[in-house]
Amino acid sequence: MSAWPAWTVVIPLVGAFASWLVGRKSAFVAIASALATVGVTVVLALEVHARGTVLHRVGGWGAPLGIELRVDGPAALLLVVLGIVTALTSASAVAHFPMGRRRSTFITLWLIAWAGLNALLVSADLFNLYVALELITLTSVGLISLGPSRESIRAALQYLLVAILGSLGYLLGVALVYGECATLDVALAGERLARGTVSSAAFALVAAGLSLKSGLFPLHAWLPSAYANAPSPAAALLSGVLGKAAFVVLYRITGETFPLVLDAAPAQIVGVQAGAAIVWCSLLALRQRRLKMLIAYSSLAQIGYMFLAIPIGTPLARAGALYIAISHAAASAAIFTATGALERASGNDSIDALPGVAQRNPLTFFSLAIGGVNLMGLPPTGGFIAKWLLVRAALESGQWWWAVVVLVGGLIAAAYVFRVLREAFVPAVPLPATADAPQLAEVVSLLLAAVSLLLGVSPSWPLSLAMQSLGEGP
Amino acid sequence: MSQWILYAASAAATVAIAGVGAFVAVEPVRRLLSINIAYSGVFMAFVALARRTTSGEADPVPHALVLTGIVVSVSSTALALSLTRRLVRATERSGRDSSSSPDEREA
Amino acid sequence: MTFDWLLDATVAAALPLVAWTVARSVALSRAIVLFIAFGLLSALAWTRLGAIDVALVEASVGAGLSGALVMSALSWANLDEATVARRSVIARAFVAAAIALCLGAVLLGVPDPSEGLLGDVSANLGDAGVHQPITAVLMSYRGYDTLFELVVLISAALTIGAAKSARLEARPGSDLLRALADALLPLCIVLSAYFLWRGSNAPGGAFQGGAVLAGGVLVSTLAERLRRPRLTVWWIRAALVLGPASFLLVGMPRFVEGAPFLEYGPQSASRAIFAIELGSLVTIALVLASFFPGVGPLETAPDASSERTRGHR
Repeated sequence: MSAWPAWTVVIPLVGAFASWLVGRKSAFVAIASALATVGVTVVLALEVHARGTVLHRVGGWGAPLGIELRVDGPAALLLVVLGIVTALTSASAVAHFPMGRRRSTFITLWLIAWAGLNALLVSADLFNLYVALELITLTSVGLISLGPSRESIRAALQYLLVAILGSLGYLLGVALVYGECATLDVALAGERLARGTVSSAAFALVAAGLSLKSGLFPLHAWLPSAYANAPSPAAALLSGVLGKAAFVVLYRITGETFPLVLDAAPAQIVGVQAGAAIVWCSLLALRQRRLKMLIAYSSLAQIGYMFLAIPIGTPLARAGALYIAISHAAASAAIFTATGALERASGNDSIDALPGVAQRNPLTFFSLAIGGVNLMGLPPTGGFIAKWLLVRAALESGQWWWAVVVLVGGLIAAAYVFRVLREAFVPAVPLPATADAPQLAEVVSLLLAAVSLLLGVSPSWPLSLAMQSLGEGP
Repeated sequence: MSQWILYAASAAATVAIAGVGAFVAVEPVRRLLSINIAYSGVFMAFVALARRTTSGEADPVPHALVLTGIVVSVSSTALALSLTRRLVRATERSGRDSSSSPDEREA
Repeated sequence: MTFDWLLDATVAAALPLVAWTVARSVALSRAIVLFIAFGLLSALAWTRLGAIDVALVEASVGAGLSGALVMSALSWANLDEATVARRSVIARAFVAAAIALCLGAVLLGVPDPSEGLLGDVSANLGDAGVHQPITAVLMSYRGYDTLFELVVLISAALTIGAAKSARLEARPGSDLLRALADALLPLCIVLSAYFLWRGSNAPGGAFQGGAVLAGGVLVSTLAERLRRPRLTVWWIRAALVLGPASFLLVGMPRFVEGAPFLEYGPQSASRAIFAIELGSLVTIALVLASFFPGVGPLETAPDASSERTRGHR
């Protein structure tokens, strides 16, 4: 039994309270907490890589009475990469908010959200996952509401109402699972659940609730305005990291609690939704005039890629979904941060205002380009590895139509990415007078883009973690 | 019909009615009321299921879960009300101002 | 058909009916009052089902505090009655009935009877350090969940407090209100202390006590018997996080030495749990009171530089 899973949760929490007590000068606390948390996740990942799944019984009570923390390969990988993305994104928040109450509230909420995210990634208890999801929701809403305009408040409210509706479905499903198996442990419930109306209904409710929270087609209409009207650091965090939480829960629960229940028919329905998300949302992204809205719709398409793992169903497909999650986390955070920097410089995020960016802000342009290449799924980024895994998994399992969907999605993504990059590359005549883009934001977005490159260039270590999993096989 | 079955049926009806009410509601406060009632229905399901024991003494774990759930949902309610209030006030203020209000871009 | 059965059937039937009237009410004030009535009926149902702790929390937090929250919304909400959706009642009733039947059928499909975790809970009560099973589950077996629940409360309070909130235009307290506050606040203090103390052996605990205390504080603030404490005061800030901090302070020494997180050890378990409950009560009372911005204690000092430039446009 190892203590590291609990440390990944405790350190950000302690940091959050310390930053709250310190008040205005909390940036130092934030940096220290970020470094410590990332360090702990790396140590944990190394341990998982060496020894396999790591276990921690909170309070000394094991399942079914208590709550267990279990970290397998995929969870460790998510902890590390999402942690790095979180840490880097928050650094740009320091540039975005001037020193004051908004910044210190951001820091405290961000650290609490990180604690909730880590708790979600390590937990093996169905109700604990619910509480972690709610914590992430409430802190996300808080982060969105720190935006400057009335639209941010509206976006935050809409996000909140949708999220609690989703949790309602999830909770009802958990009630059914507990009623059937008298346990809340994810793996133990999987052993005890038998095929029948109760388990099918429970899965339907859980999947519906979590798909709503993820923004899977057709329940996606709420997401773009929520991301686009949030302040840029919050949008980067949401689309990159926190927005993946519901999918991760579904991923874990499908693998461990409901493997027997998942027939071909419901899985294919999810696949149709995922395919529609990929194609339809990518097409909608083509029509956008605002860069932030374009990225938001593109994130919806990426969510579709992740959900494709459910109909395909093989371990390779799940690894592909995981790789989409981590590459997109880095890429979308990079793009949102870069967009935020551009917004500061020119005052808006309209695509028509982009000409001249390549001249004035080459670093930002480079980050946008790498992020865009990742969205397209081209080498040498992590997005390519992820799509390659998905295509191969689809072909190997005989469901070749999903491979076609993936490729079509990539083509449409190429269309809108090239449109953005071409606009940015066009020299603006005359050069409009703009403010300087904040340097810190530019550096952060570059680093984030570098992460997505790294995932593409040396995928062996992440992949070995992603393929190592406890729920499947001996 | 034993006691837990009565309340389980009540829970199902409550969740259904409030769920429909939440989707149909136009104004945020009403939607919030229906969502809260729907959550109460889910909690009722938990507590009714806890009453199925042979001894008649209830299983305390679902009770603790419901307790946690009530507290979490009151936090969400308070947050939603605070946001709605800010939105209403901001809308009133921009309506009073002679300067243009931010255009509302819907997805 | 015993009296018990009749009572249960009446309560069980009344709950969905009241839910229906809440959804169908044209006037918002009517919907809110019915909502509070629903909460109190639920509390009755919990009592019938043997969930006394839950009934206490529902009555104080669910019906009481949530009810007061939505009622305070009447001062600013859109009372225009045209906002009620005038869709077909028949269609809604039909859809609701269909869903209810499906859900009911599924719920009734679970194994009957089922012990759940009752056996495990009772077997380990000695090691948990308390006699009341729910307190054992909340603070010991699943204390990790309670820790996060407190953090959820604090997150909501942080976001609510971060807004530049207009003070609710309260009338200056009448003599009646002042007399009420003078009578209520000491009663609430005693009651919350009683709940806290009794939580180890009987229904009660930090949540119920915190909610009652918050109520007393709110009434006193309304009657202007208590001044609003400000968030800039360091000990109010510390008090806000005292709940989770107690968890961490109590759980850390052994954790650092290698024991599992939040293991208290059988000898010191009851003391540890009481300490955590005490801290939690402070946090809960403060957070619940702060959910009423402009009325509750958490009034943040307006930040001169950031608010004027970033106020809502």
